[in-house]
Amino acid sequence: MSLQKEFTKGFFAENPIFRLLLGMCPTLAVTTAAINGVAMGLATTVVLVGSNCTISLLRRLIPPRVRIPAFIVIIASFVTIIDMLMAGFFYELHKVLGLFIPLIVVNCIILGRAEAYASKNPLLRSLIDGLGMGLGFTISLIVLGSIREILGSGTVFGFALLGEGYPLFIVMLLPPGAFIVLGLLLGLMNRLRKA
Amino acid sequence: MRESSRLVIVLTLVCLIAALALAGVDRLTKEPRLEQKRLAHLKAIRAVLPPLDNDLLKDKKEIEGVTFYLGKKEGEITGVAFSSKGEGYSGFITIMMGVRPEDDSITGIEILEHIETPGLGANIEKEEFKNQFKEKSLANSKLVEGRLAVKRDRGDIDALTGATISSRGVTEAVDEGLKIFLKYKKQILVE
Amino acid sequence: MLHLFVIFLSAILVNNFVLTRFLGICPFLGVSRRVETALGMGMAVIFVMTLASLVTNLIYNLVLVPLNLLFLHIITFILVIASLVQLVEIVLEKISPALYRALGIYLPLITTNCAILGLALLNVIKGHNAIQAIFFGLGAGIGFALALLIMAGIRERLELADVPVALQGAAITLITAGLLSLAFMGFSGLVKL
Repeated sequence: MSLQKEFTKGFFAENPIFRLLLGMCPTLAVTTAAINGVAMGLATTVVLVGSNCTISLLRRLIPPRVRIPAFIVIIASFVTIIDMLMAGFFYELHKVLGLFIPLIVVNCIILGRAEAYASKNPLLRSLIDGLGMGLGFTISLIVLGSIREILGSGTVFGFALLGEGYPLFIVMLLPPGAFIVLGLLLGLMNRLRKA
Repeated sequence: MRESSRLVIVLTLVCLIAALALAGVDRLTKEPRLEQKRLAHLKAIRAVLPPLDNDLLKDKKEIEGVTFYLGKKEGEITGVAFSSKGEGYSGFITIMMGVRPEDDSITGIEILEHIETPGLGANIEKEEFKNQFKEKSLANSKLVEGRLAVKRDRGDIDALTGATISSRGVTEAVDEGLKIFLKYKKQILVE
Repeated sequence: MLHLFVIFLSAILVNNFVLTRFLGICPFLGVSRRVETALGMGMAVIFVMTLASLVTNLIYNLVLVPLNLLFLHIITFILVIASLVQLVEIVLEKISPALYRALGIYLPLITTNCAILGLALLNVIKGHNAIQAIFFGLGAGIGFALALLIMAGIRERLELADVPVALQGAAITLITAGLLSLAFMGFSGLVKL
């Protein structure tokens, strides 16, 4: 596969949320507003690129039987280090992104890519895979977050869209809304792909 | 056997290196992290107190583990700031609150730390929510079983839509804070 | 005692790990096709969650806090959970081969179940002591098993239903989970926490 294809596959053909069903837990939890999608998506992308590169470099050194615990340790350390660095040197950014950090540790998208891709591919390709997958994840989060924000708060990225008279569909911001919107979006994606 | 001992060695090595890296970064960032936290605290104290002209770091008192910062204007104590805690949806919510000693009412609150759901419970940081606590006191609020409460629990605090538990957490912290203030008021105000 | 009961009940119904905290969604979608497998997975999760909740809590309070090693808590929890699952697997194989055969295939899946790490982290955040951790773990496990079982029951029926082609598979499962979550919201007034 060409490097360019490697990069763009995460956007649609192998979109982590809609096609691979990876990273569902944070996806459902944070998409109450579009802006959260941007924050969570970018934070995840940074971790994903970092862990993909590290694991790709170490892929020959780690015996297959202990790879899962080893990968999880690497990912968790990576996340904790980023968290500490941000808290120390980029306090304002940390205030916004800090809430997402514990969610990234338990995000299976990162372990999923480490296992399925980075442990079998060289550095450059793993880096590009991480970048593409991360951006695909970000875009999907923004789409999901925008829909829930429009329906639930009548705004998108904080801008009033539907006016004062709109009766807020608050359940969209609550857990059931997350499941239902994602389910319907998956259905829509399936439909588009068939057509 | 050689195979399994290799597994153990590799895993131990990975953990060891990870632990060392973490320890290093922890040490490296400890000072800046504490410093940032202190700055944020100071900023919050200024935000919850009425305009002041004294040095907050000098005019503070520690009573029973709580630090009370005294805001003064021309030598007169116009507000006392301290932090308080309540339990929200995902964990504790720490707030900084300012109280006017004259009538024991609130001059302002700021959210210091919380881990509520972004976009939902995290909206406790919004001005509209925080500002409703201004001027409130135990004397002028509708208490439920002696405590401040949100409307859903028959009190008079407006809860955020879809985030009643987070709103309750802040309300609980404010209520606790007001009571702590009343309890130590005499000790705080003596020069 | 009452407080323990509140922790327990709210972990099962009010703040159900799967339906309101969105933890453990992957196994929830993956292993809810048959009631039988859901039951096996549910049992295994209840067992591991209770044990992991207690052990991680003890290690946090008795080792990490005194030694001032809090920055290691996440990787410690992960290792503890992974080794605990291995241990349970080995012990179970020796003691009860029948149970091992029933649960065996689910045990490796549990290591990567984010609900368990989430549980350990929530114990820290909420400042639970060891007894509270046991009840919280047990409640969370039962809540997970309950959600999984209900879902599996519905999905067995769904196979007979006429689902639009585009919605088949994960899509309809998520929508069903949404309706279930809506139903569980009815419990939110049950206990105040």
